Amino acid sequence: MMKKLLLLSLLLIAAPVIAKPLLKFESPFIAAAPPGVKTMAAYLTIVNTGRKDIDIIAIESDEFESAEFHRSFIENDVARMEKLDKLVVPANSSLALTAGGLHIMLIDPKRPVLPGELVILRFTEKSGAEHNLAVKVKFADGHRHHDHHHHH
Amino acid sequence: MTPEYQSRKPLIIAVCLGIAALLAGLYLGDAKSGKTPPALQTATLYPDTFRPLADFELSDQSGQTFTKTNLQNRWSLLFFGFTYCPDICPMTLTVLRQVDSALEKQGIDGIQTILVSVDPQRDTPPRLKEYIEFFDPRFIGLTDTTPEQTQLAALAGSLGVYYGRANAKADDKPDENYLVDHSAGIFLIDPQSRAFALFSAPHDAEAIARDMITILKYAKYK
Repeated sequence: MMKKLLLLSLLLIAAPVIAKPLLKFESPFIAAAPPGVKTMAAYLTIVNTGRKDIDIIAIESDEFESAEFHRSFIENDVARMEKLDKLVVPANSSLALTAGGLHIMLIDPKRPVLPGELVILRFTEKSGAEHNLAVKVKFADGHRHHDHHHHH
Repeated sequence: MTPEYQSRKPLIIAVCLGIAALLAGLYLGDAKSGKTPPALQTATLYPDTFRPLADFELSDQSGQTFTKTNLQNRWSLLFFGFTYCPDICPMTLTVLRQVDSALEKQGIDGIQTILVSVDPQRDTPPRLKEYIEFFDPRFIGLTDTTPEQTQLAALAGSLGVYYGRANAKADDKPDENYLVDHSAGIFLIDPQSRAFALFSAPHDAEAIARDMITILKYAKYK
């Protein structure tokens, strides 16, 4: 009994420390994509409430063979994309991943990933801390293609 | 050697020459045309005599042949991309769908929206069909089914479009998730199959739709 109480009190003391992550993941979504695609993109804003920059060094999802950080950019009117080794979330600031810029590229879905579904994305900080985030698949502009009237 | 792997230098020179020709043409165009070209937000007009498209023979998403003649008697918005592109290409297609519906609201109908694949190796007609019709079943996807991809090179070349595999290596496997860099512009092709205007990136649906309305009015009374 004494042991259990001790354990419980330890947990209560420790809990607030554990439950205060410095990163917040806001408005995440995976852009709904045509059937049969090999790549999809995830977008979100990552907020760093801490006083130090935080590096996110890995991203993965069980639904995809692999995932990478990417950046699209237009250079001399040419659309280019490059792979990034990590994301750096600046201290007391945030990093926005938006269409046409930074994004998470999800590669080779193991099964069709459909609109409305939740996909778990796992972010790993340089410190080793992991964050699991449930991200919904939705149309980028609220568009639902089957509602679109077909006429000639 | 496929056109994808060729050195960028000749293309860059071609693009520069194209821009120079465009600027020169714009100046001449202004001088000889009676009507002042309209003020535009995001589009650049090509001069009258500029850039008739090269002849080409591509395949649409149903496997039907699509040539320059399919561009005649209607206006077309055409851009280059590939279906393995998860960010820019879906964004551009979404913008084009918004442009389409904004124009429809103004009673402007029947504009063809066309994606030309710069990645014919992976973008087969069935693959394109799945992809393009997700955005709008009326959109057209074109790919080059010739072994040397000469048809894509012809069309892209006549529009000064650059495309090439990013960080290509000699030992790349065909099924790898490679990336393709490509010109980000959207081309407006007139009913005589000529390049009429260029919309430069970044693309904004409202601005494009507004310019389209201005351009179509201008073209009608020119």
